[in-house]
Amino acid sequence: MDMASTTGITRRSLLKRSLMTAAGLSVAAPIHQPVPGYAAGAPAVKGGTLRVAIDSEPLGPDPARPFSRVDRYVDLTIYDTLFTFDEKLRIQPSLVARWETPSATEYLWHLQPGVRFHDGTPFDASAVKFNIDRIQDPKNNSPSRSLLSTVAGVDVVNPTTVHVKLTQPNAGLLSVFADIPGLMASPAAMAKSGSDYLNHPIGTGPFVFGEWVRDEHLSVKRSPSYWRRDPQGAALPYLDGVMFRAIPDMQAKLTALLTRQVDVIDSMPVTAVATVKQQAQYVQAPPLGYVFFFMKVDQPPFNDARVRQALCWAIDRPAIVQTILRGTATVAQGPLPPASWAYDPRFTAYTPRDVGKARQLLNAAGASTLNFSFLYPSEEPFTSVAQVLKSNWAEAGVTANLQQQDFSTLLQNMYAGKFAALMIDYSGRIDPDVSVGSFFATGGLNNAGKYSNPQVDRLLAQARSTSVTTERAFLYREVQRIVMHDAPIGLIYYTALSNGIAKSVRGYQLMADGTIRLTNVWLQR
Amino acid sequence: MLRYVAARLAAMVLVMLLVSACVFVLMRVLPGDPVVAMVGMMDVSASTLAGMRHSLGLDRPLPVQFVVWLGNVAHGNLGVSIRSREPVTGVLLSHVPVTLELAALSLAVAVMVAIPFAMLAVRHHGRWLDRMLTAGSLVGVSFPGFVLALGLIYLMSLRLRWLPPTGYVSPVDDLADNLKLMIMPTLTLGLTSAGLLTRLLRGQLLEEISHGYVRTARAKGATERAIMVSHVLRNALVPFTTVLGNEAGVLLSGAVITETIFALPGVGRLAVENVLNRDLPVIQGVVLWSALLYLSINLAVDLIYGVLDPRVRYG
Repeated sequence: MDMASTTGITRRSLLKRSLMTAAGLSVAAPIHQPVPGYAAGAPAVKGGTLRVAIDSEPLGPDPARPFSRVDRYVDLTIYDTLFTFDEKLRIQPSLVARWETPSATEYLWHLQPGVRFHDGTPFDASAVKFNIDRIQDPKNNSPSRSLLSTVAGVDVVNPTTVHVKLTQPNAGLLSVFADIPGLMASPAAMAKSGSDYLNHPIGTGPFVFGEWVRDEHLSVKRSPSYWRRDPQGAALPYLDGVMFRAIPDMQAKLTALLTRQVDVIDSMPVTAVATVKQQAQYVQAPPLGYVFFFMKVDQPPFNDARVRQALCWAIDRPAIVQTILRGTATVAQGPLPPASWAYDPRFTAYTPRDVGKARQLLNAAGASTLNFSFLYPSEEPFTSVAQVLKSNWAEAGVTANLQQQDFSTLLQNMYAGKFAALMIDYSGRIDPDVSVGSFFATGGLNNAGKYSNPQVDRLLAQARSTSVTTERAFLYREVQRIVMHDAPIGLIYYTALSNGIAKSVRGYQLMADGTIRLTNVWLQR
Repeated sequence: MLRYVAARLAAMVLVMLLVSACVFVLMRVLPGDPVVAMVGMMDVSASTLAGMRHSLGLDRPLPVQFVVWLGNVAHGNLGVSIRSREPVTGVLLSHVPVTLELAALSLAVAVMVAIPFAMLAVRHHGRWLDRMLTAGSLVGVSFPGFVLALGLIYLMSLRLRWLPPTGYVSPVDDLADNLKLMIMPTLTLGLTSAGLLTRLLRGQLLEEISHGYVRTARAKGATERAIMVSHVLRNALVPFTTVLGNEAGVLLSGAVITETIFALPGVGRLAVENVLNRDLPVIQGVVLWSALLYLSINLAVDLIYGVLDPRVRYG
């Protein structure tokens, strides 16, 4: 493992090293697997309803409310985001057609002209201000508010221009507006529907809300006046509509796909991948999230970095990936996953496994008979992974007392800091400012283990204040090297969402953040 | 009889109050936080979480929360779901018909299998048919419902492609589709209950047959069929009804596994999902519904005893 020894980075050295990083970035290009038929440019056929089976009932299509993974599926049919991102997770225009940065703490957003909400009202600068203000208003208790903490205010310059002021530079901010906080809802519809808005959501997206029968289905139908066109100038979307249906049981969901009751399933058991590949189409997103465990860095025994490093050295991560996940995941080396533009394919940490080194570190730390509680979710694959970890650690003389908890209890303990070590998964975010910053900055939103390193804080702040991607990539790679040495978390494997889709589905895109883009999807008859 | 019913109804109110209080306290004493369950792990600050808890009244003292909830219930308001923001009464009303239909169809299957099978077994008592039916009913009792459900899906959906594996369509929208979707869940629950009921009824019938009144009826020249149907079966139905009532209670409060496997939006699935998500108002609503059902069915069973056996007196 290449350990960081920098104490601070000057502008000059940063430029020099970022040039070297730029060369590496091309190697780091993420894998994107378009579905057959889409890449070949087959002519799209209009019509048909896509039936999508999802894990659970959505929380509801309101951008300011809490959301789950399945909400992203639904929301992106009804709404557009201000920005979007491409396969390499680079920010691209969406409702914001182009943007300027007059200073490090200012943005000027120029909006797509002529876009209207499904209720006929215009999408303009005041609608953008309304939506951002709504998330920031403490009275609304929006969980997305924390992500907008650097937004000082939004001003309407003219109907198609928005001026955004920041409290401090934040190069990752635009990525936040490519996710749920960037969904634009109709202010007029909100005023009209009030507390019943969840049953009458109005956006500018490719589909218009149809109906939501709780625990049965949520349907959307084609917007007749969607503002985007396909490359040939034809109207989008191609589908007549989409029907989302929650099927919680994974086996039942798989059967529904194989018997053509649904066209898309959003998850499947790892044992079913071969069947899906054979009888349908298997799509996997580039890996963005990871399964890992927090260690409580501010308390014994994990306040000693050697103890944390020992646990990391003792884990047989390739075995977990091969035996439990049947090769559907990849071993995690650092918090910058393969889908990220900052990913460094040459970086490795705690590879190969070294139980002897783990024992040495434990002996040096005076923790040769380490014994601790290990919390993890009471569901697969966590339960199997926990068993392997326990036996891996036992080989180094460590006793992990396994404690399964349901997700709600586990999360409560995580937020309250009531654990010694706790395993969980993180879906990842498209910009490292959120996905790396929130875990390793002192007081970061996801820093449950209370890790604090002033050097990491400085590098993260520096990465926030520059908008040059190569510079940022270099800085995040530095952070990666330091935190993997300090080991406040133990990374196990990168997760990549996978979907099963019927053979007739064309143009399907599963993005790294787990969202599906249905604007270009069509059904082959 | 009216006084008996009135007393039982008053006791029901008391029991429901106690059940509500117990569940209210239990759900709040158990670890797990509805707000955290809702937001998951999504970059949320502690102050935002606290704000969300405050807006839902979850930071108020427990007795205050209970009294507020009870006051609302007294006015017919079961509260609002934390996750979906839907009124709990509406949530319950949308899930109850599915469970009612599933329970009614399953009980019908159970009774239609149990009564003829038990009578056939008794008629052929000690012979191979009896032994086969007894063994078959034992398999029915011991066979886990979820295995039967997955087996049915494999056979009917994957192999034969006769039935859709999951989903629900209201009978009002499309009766044929509704029945098609209900066949496998109904067989799953109905056949499991039928095993228990067949064994019970067979035992009861054999006991009744040995009584003196059967011999008397035979001596009077009554046909075997008349003896079985009018005398033996009727008397054997008293304990059968008790167990049937219990089965009805279980089914009506929601068949958790079956509803989950077949993706039926019934009360069972509602309960499980909301326990996992700690959506307290919905859990309270489901518990009230289940308690009300159990108590009502118990009362109904007690009243049916009087119809089946005129010797039973209420007082």
